[in-house]
Amino acid sequence: MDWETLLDQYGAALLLYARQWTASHQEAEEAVQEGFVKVWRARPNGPDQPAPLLYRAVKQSAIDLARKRVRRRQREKAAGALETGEPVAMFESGFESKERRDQIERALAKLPAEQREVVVMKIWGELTFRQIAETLDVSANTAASRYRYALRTLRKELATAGAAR
Amino acid sequence: MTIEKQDDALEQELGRLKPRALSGTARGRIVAQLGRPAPAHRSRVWPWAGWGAAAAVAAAVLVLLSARWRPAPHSEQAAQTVQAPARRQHDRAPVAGPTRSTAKPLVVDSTLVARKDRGLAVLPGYGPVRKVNYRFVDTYCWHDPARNVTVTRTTPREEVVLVRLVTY
Repeated sequence: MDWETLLDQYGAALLLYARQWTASHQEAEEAVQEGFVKVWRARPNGPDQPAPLLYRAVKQSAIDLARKRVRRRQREKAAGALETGEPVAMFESGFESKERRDQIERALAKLPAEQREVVVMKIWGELTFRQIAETLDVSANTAASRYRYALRTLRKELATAGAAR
Repeated sequence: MTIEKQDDALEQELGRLKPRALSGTARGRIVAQLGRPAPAHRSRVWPWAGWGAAAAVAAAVLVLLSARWRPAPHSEQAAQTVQAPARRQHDRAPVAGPTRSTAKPLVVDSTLVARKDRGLAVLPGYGPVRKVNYRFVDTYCWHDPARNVTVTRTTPREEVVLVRLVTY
């Protein structure tokens, strides 16, 4: 499998995954780029089990970039500069209404990070609990239990948001 | 409705959302770092299109180079002709027919400069595809040691790649 096929297969889900730690779409893209290139350079013929490696590498890059961003913001704040830019939605427009997509994004953002990443990997990355467990270095049962908790929280959050409309 | 069914419904709703794809810029940066894989892997519909375009460009460059080199000697030779036209003609006299070029390719390079998503299309009997335009700049560098001439030519090239959409 060449890297471009791999990027086609995992790119969008990795981008969404990176968004869980980054402050912007651009930063998430940078994290995907760094993580992806790192994995591919370490295994130029393509890893046997790419998903756990890719998710782990992208997460690490996203966290590193977020740390750099915090330091940069502190410097910018000290210098009086402000970052501007339109926020980019996590999801493409499709069957759901924009309002519903926004509700889901907000509900996702409220989840604890350890639950959110499991949801992203399971639903949009289509990883098995075993692959998620390998990525996060936890047991498959723990991954499944975080997923169930996350769904329950999301359901409540979305019901509240729907009722508030 | 039971909790399991509610979870299933929520999973389905979430699954219908499509995460935003990487932008062309981000993809271009990855291409710049990793290089492009063979086009055949990307384009399953027209795998020959990229190679055909590259071959056509290479052939055009060869024709242009040979046409350019035969009638006009390079600048050093031109200078010699000005300084010593008689000797030059004498040197040339024994040569019968056109001289054969000994030029060898030094560099053949292709750089991706832009990628643009041209939206969706439906191919009859194939299904939905996404049309993606890739723009490259191809660089060909040739060196002729016999004449000590180096020629570099850059050519823009555009590929339209059809990426099959897999729907679940």
